[in-house]
This record gives sequence, structure tokens and C-alpha cells, in this order.
Amino acid sequence: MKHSKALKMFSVHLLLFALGTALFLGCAKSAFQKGQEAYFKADFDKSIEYFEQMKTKKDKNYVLYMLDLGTAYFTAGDYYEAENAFLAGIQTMEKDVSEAQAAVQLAKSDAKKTYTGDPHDMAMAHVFTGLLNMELGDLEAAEIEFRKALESDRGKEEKYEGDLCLAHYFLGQVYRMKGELDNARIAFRNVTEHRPEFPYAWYELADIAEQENLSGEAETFLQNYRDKDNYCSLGRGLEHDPNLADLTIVLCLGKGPMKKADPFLGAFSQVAERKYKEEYAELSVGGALLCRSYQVDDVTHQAKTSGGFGGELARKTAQVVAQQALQAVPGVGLFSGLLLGGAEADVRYWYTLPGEFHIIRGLVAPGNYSLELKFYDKKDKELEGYRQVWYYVPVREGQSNILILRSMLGMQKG
Amino acid sequence: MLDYHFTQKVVVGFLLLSTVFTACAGSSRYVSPDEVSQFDDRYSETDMRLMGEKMAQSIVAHKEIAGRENPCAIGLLHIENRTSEYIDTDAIADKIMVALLKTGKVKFVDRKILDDIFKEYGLSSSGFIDPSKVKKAGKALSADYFLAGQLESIHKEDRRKSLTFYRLSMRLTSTETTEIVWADEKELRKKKTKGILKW
Repeated sequence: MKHSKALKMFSVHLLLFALGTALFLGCAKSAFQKGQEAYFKADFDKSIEYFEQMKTKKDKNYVLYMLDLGTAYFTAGDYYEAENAFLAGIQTMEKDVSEAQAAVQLAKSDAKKTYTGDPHDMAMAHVFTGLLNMELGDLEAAEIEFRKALESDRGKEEKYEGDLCLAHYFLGQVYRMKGELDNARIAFRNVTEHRPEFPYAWYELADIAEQENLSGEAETFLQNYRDKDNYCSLGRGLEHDPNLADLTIVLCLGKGPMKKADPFLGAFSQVAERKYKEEYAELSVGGALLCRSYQVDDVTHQAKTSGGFGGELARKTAQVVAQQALQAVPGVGLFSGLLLGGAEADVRYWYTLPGEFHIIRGLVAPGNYSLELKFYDKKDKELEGYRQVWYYVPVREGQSNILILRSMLGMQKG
Repeated sequence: MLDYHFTQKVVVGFLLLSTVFTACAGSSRYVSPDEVSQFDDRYSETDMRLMGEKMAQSIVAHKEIAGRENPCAIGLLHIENRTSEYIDTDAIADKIMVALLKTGKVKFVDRKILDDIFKEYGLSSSGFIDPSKVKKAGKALSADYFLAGQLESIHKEDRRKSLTFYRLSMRLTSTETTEIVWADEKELRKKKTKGILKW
């Protein structure tokens, strides 16, 4: 009697312990999740610390660890480490798997497979690497990365082909710096074709036409620029005041797209927009308003229009064929449910990717300045907690002054 | 003794699996540089090779070049890219230059590195370089001709097909008389038919 009572108590305690452990483990966040949370709380050092812990784990989500780590370093301003992380992610996405690995991958459900990135992941990783190379002064490498970004962006519907305007715009800048005006012209024309409301590409076309003594064409392009940029921060004409320097700010705005299971075709994933408040920003330099930001690319649009549906359909079909084949084999069929994954959708995505890229550009006298960024919503109301002030920012004559910044609530606390 | 139906199922299952797994795996191998590549209707290395070879053969065969006793000196100017694609036209120019140099009938003068050469002479005259090793100025070749050109394209498409037309035109201009002594062009047309299901 006594023994059975003690046994009962022991069983109850064991059960409670097991339940408690399960609950605790279920609620405990991985370092990866903590890193992502810290990123959007603007605690980049913490974010980097967590993502670095994931670096040694070469598991199925390695690409995502590297892309998020790269974004964290990029935002924190450590461009060398950011480049290393992005390149590691890109190399893994580009790697061809062996036949044996392909066979194993086919048998697994999508969510359990090694993440190899969507087309827009690859394109944006190359864009980030290109921007980094520009910042580090390596124009040749920057050109290669922007061109790879455009290559990764292929396979879309015809009307969206070649619409990665961010890559075209900076490729144009690289070609200008290298003196290849022909290719620069092509780049900026691509931007005006897909995004005619973006003013700076028109200005660049005007400047190139002026250099080629095509005054009529230059004036037409310049008028387009004046129509699109109310602030005319690059001036109303093309006369270059030698005392002024070009300041460009690349603004990463909001949050990139997420993925969720398609409500009708549950085995396929669907790109969905993540909500954020920022619509545009205004820049003041040394206390004087310079201009506002203009969108050059929408990452969610790129994700929604990137190709690959046909490939995913083929993969899913092959997966079903493989599953049916294995189930047809006597004996194996019983275990096929264990051996093979289901056909659930892969809803993993690059969490820290921005939602939009904007450019702010203007001519400023060389010197050190405080730059103030104010962010506004769709109703032109300033967003509280988003303002950023950067002190002693050098603007140098005769060289490109490019700053890359990110919008975020609480970016600068206090 | 194995059941016939059991064996059949195993064989079919094995064949299906093998087909699926093999089809999904990729491979790579070396191919001849002369092999024609046609991935799409855009500019490719085959186009560069065809254009470069045509121009080099045309120049060498022209009486201005073929009829000379001594090789002439040509300065290579820029080939303008007037297409809508990012094309490194210097690669076409390099292709032509290499092909012409191999014939022995043409010399090339490199005007792109003049700034670097002047810097080197400046360094030489500064006393930094061993005087016995200093190169003497005044021996640079003068160009007899300048070679320049442009690459254009026209692209047309509808729902089912697209057609891209490329035209490389080049000219040789005498530095003495400014006369265009040679000109030629190479045209290429590429047609692409779009699939119904675009993968």
C-alpha cells in the first residue's frame, strides 16, 4: 500500500517535471530569434552577438544566419564583416548539391530542407555586397556584384524583367566613376523606364547628354528631373559649382517581405507584405532642409514578382512522384511517412531585410555636418521615435560621399 | 520464389526514383571556346568572337594594310555601346587587336596608358631611378591610323517571340589626312521563341 502511494506521488512529480521542461523548452527562444528581436530594437551589438553564435552551426538555416548577420553588421557600419557574412551566404546559395544530397533533399519536406534562398534573396545579397564594395572603394567588385544582382533577378514575367532599379542606379554610378558613359547611360535609362518618378536618374542622363554635347536632349532630361524633384537639391541647371560636393544617402526603409503558406495551395509559399509606418524621410544638413527621400526600389515587389514558380512546381511534382514511388515498394511504404516529409510550404525568409530603398541626394559645401533625418508616414505626419541625428559627418570635395542608413524605431535612444 | 508482381513494383519504384533523383542533380564540364552558345537572345561571347574575327579579317585583307611593306601602327579608340545592354566593348576591341597582332602586319600603340608612362618619365628624371637604367624619351611610335566603332542593337518582341539585331560598325581613319580608309560592319540577328509555361 505504502509503496503504491509513493510510486503514485513519484509518477505525478515526474509528469509535472516533464511538462514543465517541455513548456520551458517550447518558450525558450533560440539565439537566432533573439538576434532578430534585438535587431529591430536597434540593439545591433546584441544582435550581432546572437547571430555570431549561429555562425558555427552549419545547419539548414545557415544562409539565413549569414544574411541576417550581414545586415546587422551592415547597419552597425562594420562593412568588412558585413561583406564576409553576405559572401558566405551567397556562396552557400550558389553551391550545387551532389546527386546524393539532391536525392535526400527531394525526400524532405520544404521546411526541413537546407534553405538556398529565393531569387530576390540572392539579388538583394548581391546589391548589399555591391554597395559595400562602393563604400570600400572597390569599383570593379561593385560592378560585378550589381551585375550579378541583375542576373539573379531574371526569370520573371516579361513586364518585370530588369526592374531592379537599385542595381541599375548604382551600376550607373560605378560606370560614371569608371568613365564608361555609354554603359552609365544604359543604366540610368533602365531606371527611368521602370521608375520614371525617380528624379536622380533623369539628372544623371541630363549630365551625360551635356558631356556629350547633346544640349537639346540634356535640357529635356533636366526638365524631367525638375518636375520630379520639388526641392531641386541638385540644382536647377547642370553647371557644376566646383565648391560643392555631392552627398548621397541610401536609406533602407521598413521591413522586407515575409512568407506564409498559400491558403489554397498549402504546399506552396506566398510572399506577404510586413507592415511598417515609414513612407519617406526628409534630410536637413547643418540645420537647413536639403530635400526628401525618393523610392528607388520596393523589395516586397521584387519578391512578389521574382520568377521560380515553375521551378517550385517541378520540384513539388518530383517530390510527389518520389513519395509515390517509395510507397509502391512493399515494406518501405509502411515507413514512407517517417522517411519522407510532408509537402508543407517553406515559410522561412530573410527577417532583417529592409522593405524599400530610398535615395536622398544633394549638393553641399565640403565640411563636417550634423545630418538630421525625420521620417514621415503616408499622411505626411512625422513619426515619433524615428528621428536620427548624425554628428560630424564629413562631406569631402572631389569624391563620392555615400552614406547608408536604416530607418528604425528607437534607432537613437534619448 | 519471388512473386512477379512484387518484383515488378520494386523495379518500377526503383526506376522512377532513379529518374527523378538523376534529373534533379546538376553537372558541369569543359566545353570548347569555339562552341556556339545560345542561352537566350542577348549578347554573348559567341557574338563577341564572331564580330571580332570578322573585323580583323576585313582589316588585314584591305589594300591599305595588305599592300604595305612595313607594318602600320594603329591606335585603338573606344567602341561606343549604343545598345540597351551592359556590354564591355573593350573586349571586342581586344579581340580584334589580338587577332591583328598575330598576323604581323599591324602594330598597335597604347594610348590609354600615356598618363602612367608620363608618370614613369617624371620619376626617371627625379633622380630616384638608377641613371643607367632610365628609359630615354623620344622613341614613342606615332599612330598611322585610329580604329573606332560603335555597337548598336534593335530589339523587337511580341507575346510569343523576340528578335534582337546587333550591328558592329568600325572604321580606320588616317591620322595624317583624317580620311576614313577602311570601314566594315558585322550584323547578327537572334530570334527567341517564348515557352507557353515560363519556368
